[in-house]
Amino acid sequence: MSDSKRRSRGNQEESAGTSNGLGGRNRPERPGDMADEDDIGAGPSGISEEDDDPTRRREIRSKYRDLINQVQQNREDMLNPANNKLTDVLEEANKLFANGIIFLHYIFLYLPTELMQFRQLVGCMAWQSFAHTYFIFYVLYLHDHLLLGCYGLCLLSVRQAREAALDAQLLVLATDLGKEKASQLHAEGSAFDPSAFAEHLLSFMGLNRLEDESGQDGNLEGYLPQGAWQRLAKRSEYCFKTAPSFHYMLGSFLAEPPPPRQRVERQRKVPSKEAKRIMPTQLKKMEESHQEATEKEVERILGCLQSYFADDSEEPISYYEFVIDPNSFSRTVENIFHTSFLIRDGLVRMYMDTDGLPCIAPVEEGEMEPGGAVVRHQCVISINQESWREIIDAFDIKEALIPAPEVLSQ
Amino acid sequence: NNKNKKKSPLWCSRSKMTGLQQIFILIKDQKKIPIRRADIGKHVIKEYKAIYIEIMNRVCRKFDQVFGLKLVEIDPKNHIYILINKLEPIHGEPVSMRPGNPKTGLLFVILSVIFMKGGVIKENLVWNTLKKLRVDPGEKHEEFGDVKKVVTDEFVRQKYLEYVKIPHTEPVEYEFRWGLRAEKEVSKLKLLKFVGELFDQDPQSWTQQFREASATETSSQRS
Repeated sequence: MSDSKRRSRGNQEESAGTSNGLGGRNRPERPGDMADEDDIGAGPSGISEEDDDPTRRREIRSKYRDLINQVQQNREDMLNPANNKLTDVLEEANKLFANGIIFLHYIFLYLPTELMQFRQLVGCMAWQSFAHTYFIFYVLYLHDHLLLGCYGLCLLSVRQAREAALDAQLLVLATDLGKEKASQLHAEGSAFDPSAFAEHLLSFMGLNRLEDESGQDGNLEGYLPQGAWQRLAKRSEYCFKTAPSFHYMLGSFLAEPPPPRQRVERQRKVPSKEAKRIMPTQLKKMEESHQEATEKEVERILGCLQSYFADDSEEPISYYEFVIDPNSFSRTVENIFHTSFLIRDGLVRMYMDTDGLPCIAPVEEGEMEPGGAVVRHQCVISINQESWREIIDAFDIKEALIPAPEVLSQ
Repeated sequence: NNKNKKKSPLWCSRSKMTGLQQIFILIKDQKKIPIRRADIGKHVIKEYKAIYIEIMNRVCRKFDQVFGLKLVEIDPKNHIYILINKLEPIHGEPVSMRPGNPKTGLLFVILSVIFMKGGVIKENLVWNTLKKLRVDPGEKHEEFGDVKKVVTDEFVRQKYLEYVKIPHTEPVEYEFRWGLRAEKEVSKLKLLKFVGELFDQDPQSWTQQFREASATETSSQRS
């Protein structure tokens, strides 16, 4: 095995001098062509006694698995163009399994580093077919539109199939990595390192690095501040031509009534039917009495105001003092409500006195002109408990000018 | 056939249908799931299939002139559409008044890595890069929740990404590519420029990517 290894290495050294990868190997050969492959191919050399020893084989397999794990775990690391860890792994593999197609590792590996002028590693495939235990591996690459092929063929003995399988597996991994490493080497253009990209992104997002950072690989120190991803999003948005999402400005509503209402209606139906039968006339009476009550109240208030004015027509009555009931907020509101009817109907007028405070006075007969030459204003009055108390304090209102109505019997 | 136009029941329906289809598309666009022509036919056009093309033209014109939006067919075979913005965002001016959606940042990272690495990458590269950004697909993230679901399901359904099984892999491995929506909605050139800013590097130093980005930009401007 070492013989062929040296031979293949020798080929490599030859070719290194020329600009083409494999020197004279410009012929794309077909896989079936075994006869010519002697110098590249490694025919099965005799399997020595010691290689058959099961303990040794187990050892070999275990070491292979270690190497495979190594490649899988440290993939990113191995891709780093700065190191040759991949080479080291394969050299280890080389030592393990004498009957494997180790030379192919070398062919593949040396190509990319020595032939920088190769624009692109188009593809590399490794096939394994354990049933036939042969291994076809070829690398195709493009150099100035010239397709150069190189592949090797190795027939392995069935007896060492398990080791061969592991070797093959390692090779698949290695070639995959090798392909990526090769593709990183462009004749023009720089490589793109996703790890560095991540670092720059973290800086952009404002990563707060802790003081005692150990700075090892895979050691995630520091924390991202709030809104870090939003920050990145805002900047990235420029790269997108996203249509703004459609939303109703004032929200929307569901036009159908919610189903649960049906159940409530059904429950109500039974008692109300009976209720209707018993008290139709009484219901009518209630409505009327409400209307009557309001009218009565309005009249009563008018009466109050007029009687105050009758006593002293010179003294203006402050609106606040008139409507406020210092003992009851709700009565105050009712007073305001009823007074507003009087003003609306033109029976009472509100005006501002010299201090700018609202005053109220009944309208004299004859003062009111039908058709309203008088300017009418509209305003909305509101009052809450706090302002009610403030007014009581400010005006020192001790008692209501509008006496409380008698309780209506219902 | 101008006489018949007013009498035909379709005449009033045309503007109504145009309006309905616009609203249908706008609402479907809220979640950024691409719209299928079959759905438009089922919900809006219904039996008026004969005038579908006319309505579609009207709709496109309205979107273009009134909203500044483009209705783009991303899948000519299956007739699937997306809405994109006709207006190019201007650097220095905010794209929208709303705070950035963190998912946009996440999507940008993934799209960038795919593009800078030649257009196809193994899923592990995405997960490893995200891990470095403190986004672990195995854990619940405070901003993104189930990251794996967002990336492999939501972004894929929205057609921002393609998540494809690599054949003959055991255990099964997947690879990521740009989705059909990303091809139309994302400017490779702008993306490359931002990557250049992050690396403090001239975007042209990535010659292959720059070439591809420029080519895509000119061809999209022509369309």
